[in-house]
Amino acid sequence: MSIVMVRTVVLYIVIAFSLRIMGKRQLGELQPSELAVTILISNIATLPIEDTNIPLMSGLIPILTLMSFEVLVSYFVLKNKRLRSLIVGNPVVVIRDGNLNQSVLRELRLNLDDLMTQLRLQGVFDIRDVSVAILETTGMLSVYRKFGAQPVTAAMMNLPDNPAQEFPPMTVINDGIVLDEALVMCNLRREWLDKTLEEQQTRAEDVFLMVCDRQANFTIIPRVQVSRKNGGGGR
Amino acid sequence: MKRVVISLAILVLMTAVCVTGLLYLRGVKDELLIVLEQIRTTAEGGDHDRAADLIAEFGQLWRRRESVLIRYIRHHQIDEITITVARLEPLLRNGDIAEFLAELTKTVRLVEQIWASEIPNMTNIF
Repeated sequence: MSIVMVRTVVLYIVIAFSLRIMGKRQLGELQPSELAVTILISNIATLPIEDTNIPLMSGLIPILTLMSFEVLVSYFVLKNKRLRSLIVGNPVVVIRDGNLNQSVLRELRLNLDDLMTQLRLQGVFDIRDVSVAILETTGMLSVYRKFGAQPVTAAMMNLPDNPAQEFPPMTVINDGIVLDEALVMCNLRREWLDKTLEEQQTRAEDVFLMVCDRQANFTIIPRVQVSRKNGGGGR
Repeated sequence: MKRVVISLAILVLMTAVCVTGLLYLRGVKDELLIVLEQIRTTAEGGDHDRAADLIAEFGQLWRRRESVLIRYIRHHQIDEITITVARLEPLLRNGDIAEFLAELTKTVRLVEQIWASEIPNMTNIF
């Protein structure tokens, strides 16, 4: 049993390292080749864990080789457009000016139910509202609505620019820990934070969450002390 | 770019590990087959004491090589040879010489089989 445990830990480290090297793309939307590599790695890893007669090297070598190969292929795909089309594929226009391209749908073997589901998920319930819908290589549908169906924006209403509003509020205290990087992004100083906390009669350690924007508008959620007696769970 | 370099380095390292493993296995196979052939010749010549010594030497040699081979060869293949080697000496001392020679041939085949199953040729790959 101890062999299984040690092997599991080793493979966990190798897989975590491999995913880290393969990058954040691997954790988000997967391209077909990335999906294949991810499934292969997870399957290969189980073999030496389940069967101790299989040497650990039989798991490590293919995992590391797949990881390296995947990184190299994505590098060459980035550099070469033709290779990109071959391995990743191309986005395809499925709706143009509210008209479905039926031949493309047939070619992609995409049924209407799936297409309508994707449209609804994008907030489009009438196909006539779609200016262009593109099926991306990841299988996601990108939709650009006709002007009349687009949500109203500040630009459409000719509202004046407010650069301060263009920056989202940042988390400056997370579970009692001050995030200095967020303070810098809000153009605020540590002294301002200390003074604000003092005015609020609290300390950073007692704050569960504090968000703040560039106008120094802030929200503080204090940490709630859960007593051991009530925090045990169950009935 | 850093990731590409790391990946290339890992790929080169993996290739080196595979080639080294293969070369080591070929060396071990040649070494073991020479000793096994010596045992056969000696036993067929009737010098059973010398053959028993050679079997003991072979056993020690196998134990040393086994500890490395077990890291990348499937364990059941290694275990089968270990069991067969353990039968050789008792068979030579107490058993029928024909049975001993058959067991010796089996050991030779098992050693050759490990090598044959590790060569990256078309048969093994597909």
